[in-house]
Amino acid sequence: MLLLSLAYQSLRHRKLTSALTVFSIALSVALLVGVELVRMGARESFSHTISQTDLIVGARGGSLQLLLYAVFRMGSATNNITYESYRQFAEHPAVEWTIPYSLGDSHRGFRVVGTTGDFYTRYRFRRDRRIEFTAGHAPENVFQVAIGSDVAAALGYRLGDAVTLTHGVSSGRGILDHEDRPFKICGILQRTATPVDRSLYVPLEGMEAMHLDWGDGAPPLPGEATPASKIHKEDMKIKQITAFLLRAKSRIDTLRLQREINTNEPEALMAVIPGVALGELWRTIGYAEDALAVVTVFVLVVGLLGMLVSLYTSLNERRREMAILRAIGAGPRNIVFLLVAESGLLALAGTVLGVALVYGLTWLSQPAVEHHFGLFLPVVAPTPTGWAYMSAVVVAGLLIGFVPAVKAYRNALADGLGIRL
Amino acid sequence: MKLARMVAGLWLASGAAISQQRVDWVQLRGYNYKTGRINADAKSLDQAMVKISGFMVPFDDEQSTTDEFLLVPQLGQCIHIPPPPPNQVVLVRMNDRKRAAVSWDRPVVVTGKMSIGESKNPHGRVLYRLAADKVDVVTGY
Repeated sequence: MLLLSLAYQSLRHRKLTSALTVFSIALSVALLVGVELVRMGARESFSHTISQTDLIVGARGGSLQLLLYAVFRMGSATNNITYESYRQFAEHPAVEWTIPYSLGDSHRGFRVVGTTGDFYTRYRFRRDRRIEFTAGHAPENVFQVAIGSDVAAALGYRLGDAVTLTHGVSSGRGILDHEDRPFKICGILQRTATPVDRSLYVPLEGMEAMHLDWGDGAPPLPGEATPASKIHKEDMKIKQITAFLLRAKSRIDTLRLQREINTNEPEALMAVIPGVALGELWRTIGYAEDALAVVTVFVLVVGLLGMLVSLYTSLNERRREMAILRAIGAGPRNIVFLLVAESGLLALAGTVLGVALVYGLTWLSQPAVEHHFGLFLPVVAPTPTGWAYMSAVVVAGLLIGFVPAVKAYRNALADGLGIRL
Repeated sequence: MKLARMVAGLWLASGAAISQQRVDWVQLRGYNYKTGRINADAKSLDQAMVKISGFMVPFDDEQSTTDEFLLVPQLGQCIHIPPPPPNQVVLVRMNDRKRAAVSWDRPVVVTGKMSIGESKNPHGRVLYRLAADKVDVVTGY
């Protein structure tokens, strides 16, 4: 105990060096734990987004691409699928329910999704949570829109506001706006912490109505457009959708259904199982994660080496101190213990500070990160890997302490007492 | 005393091993998914405690653990031939809110109670369900 307090006092005596050492270890620990936290956050934000869905169906292309645009609102589809093909599988005897999505438009950087009432009743995330409204209700008319909570918060929209949707997907205000046909906000969705929050939802008919008279790919000229007042839900004929989610009556049919959709004639369709497609994504990203982990381990090694250097060089200044300790009766074991305790304390302080740093920063930056990157960083207890990193740092600190300790122990008594200051 | 405990342990272990029938995928084919006829060999699996190995096909997007998945005899889906027929797929659900670790490329051994149901759907009438107590990843194969 006396030696521990001596170690502490000795560290305090060299405040600046100790503080710098602790800080450099803290930074490397923060990096190590932070990377682990971000990795976990990325996985967490991706999982729990879609539940109870057996297949995602879209035009034939890459399975990952389909998963990304249909579920995570990232990237875009290469082709739409006809409404007839959709109906064919929606009415399939083995299918329990479907949710159609029509994508491709945006509003100030947020995606617009054309869907049906099934979305509000059938969609599930986080195992069994469903879509709920903080205000209003699901769209009933052609020109009504329900908005996700992030959209409402970021743009300050309230019920009854009129919004103009933009043709295509741009990150701000568009050039080709569907100005002639504004949508009225009829509902605001409750926060889900999934990409659902970052979209606007219009009826499928609304999506069609928006593009009415756009036959040749450009908006109708002034005066040529059908006035919004003349567009009725019943008259809108849905020609195409982009993708749909499907739930089989019995999950055991999933593989057969998938095959049936993949070999569908004449339209080329593709079905993916969400869990399997996401697994592919993780295995692809796995390499990058590993690379990042390797880099952080190197950073940690550098931090620990810095500690070794500072302890080792301080020994030179402390030859007299060591000699006096030996002279007043401290055995070699006490000297070793003292130096190991010092480096252990430094490592421990560095780890604690590093963890505090990373959690503090996470807590502070959480809203900003979530808003800008759609990444939810959870402030949760460290994972087993996190704990392993932290204990590894402290253990490494203790082990490193042995290097100067052995050196001090080997130094002759006379070496310290004989020097002239 | 120690010896007695060891013997008891051994007896229990062997007893547990006997009560779980090791099931082969061929045995499951005894239920004809087209005609709905079932032979005695397959029929005996109903309500039996079984052990069966295969590959996992998880549905939901949770990547670490799952409570419901399909067990199939081959890894991935070969696109040259149709997927396994209904009598070569087992719908596994974990018991008592247990969760199984997702295994992508290693086969698993599932231990639990098998039940044979019938489903009315265009793909076939067979439905093998397994209420699982344990899912172990096969190592060193």
